[in-house]
Amino acid sequence: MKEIKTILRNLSLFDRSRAHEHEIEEELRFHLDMRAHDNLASGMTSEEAHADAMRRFGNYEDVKAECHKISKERLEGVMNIKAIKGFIWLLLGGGLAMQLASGSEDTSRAGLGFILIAVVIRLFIFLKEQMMDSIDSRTNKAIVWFILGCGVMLRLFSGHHAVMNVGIFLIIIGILWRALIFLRKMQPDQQRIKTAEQIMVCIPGVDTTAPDHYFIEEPLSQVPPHDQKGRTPVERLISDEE
Amino acid sequence: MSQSKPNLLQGTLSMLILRTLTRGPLHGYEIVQRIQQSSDDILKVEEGSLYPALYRMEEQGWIEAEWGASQNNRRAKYYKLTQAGRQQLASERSNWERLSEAVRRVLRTA
Repeated sequence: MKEIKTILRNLSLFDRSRAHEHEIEEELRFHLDMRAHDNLASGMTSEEAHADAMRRFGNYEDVKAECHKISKERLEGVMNIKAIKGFIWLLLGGGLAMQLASGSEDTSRAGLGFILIAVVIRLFIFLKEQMMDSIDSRTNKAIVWFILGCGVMLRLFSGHHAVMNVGIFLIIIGILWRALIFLRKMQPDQQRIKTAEQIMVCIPGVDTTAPDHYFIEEPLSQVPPHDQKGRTPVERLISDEE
Repeated sequence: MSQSKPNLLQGTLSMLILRTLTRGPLHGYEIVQRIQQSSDDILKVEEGSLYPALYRMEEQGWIEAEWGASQNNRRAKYYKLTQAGRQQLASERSNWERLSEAVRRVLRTA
């Protein structure tokens, strides 16, 4: 019984989130301990070593909260996709069962409807996972209009029932695709790593204990020192030369 | 702390992390150390800000994380580059080189 409870608890999003939180703490704590250890080895007292580790790290609580937020968003995304995929299989199974086992035409048609909905949702996820992010916004919108146009044409100008249904199907796909573009616009820009831009540069002669002086306020190319080849520190780092 | 950070640096840290990880899996502390050492202690990453960057990069699929044992036998989270990360590095590096070349040209001529 206890094991079943543990399994159920581990399956829940809440507990996974808690586990992630512990892992984040462990990772950050490891970093601070390593820094303090190196500080001790370089001759600092225990107190100085820990104080220096904390100062170099920045605001521990803010970093932890930011990591937890990112981790939670990711976890929720994975859980949502998993739940939707499970729902798709349920719809497909139900639809197929109704199609195959039922003698009534209405039930059979409802089964077909379920299968169609499952296919549409699966396509929706596929578009999101595989295509949306790799195509630019303008191309995405052009595709939407093309699909919608084709769908409307088929729906309005075809006399054949099956072709008209294909038209409706295309219109649904077009609307879903447009909704995805809209939703993506509403999300914060994930590509921008907001807190990660704090590259600090030690400039000779500048009091590096004053945090404001760490931040580059001018283009990198003007920040000394360049090496003999005239490269900035970043250029030197990304260079192939080991 | 300065509120406005130069746009020129957008994405620079991710490029440096990706470049550092081309040499093999590393934990966060080692990444910071390597960046500092490779730049002769000129570039210093604010150590705490490295982690949200790593988490975002993991979310993007550029790196993967795995728990392992560190040199002092403690559990540590190691990050390694993925194929998508290699592509991202190539792209960021190309952008960086174009940008720095453009700035250099302006400084030479203006």
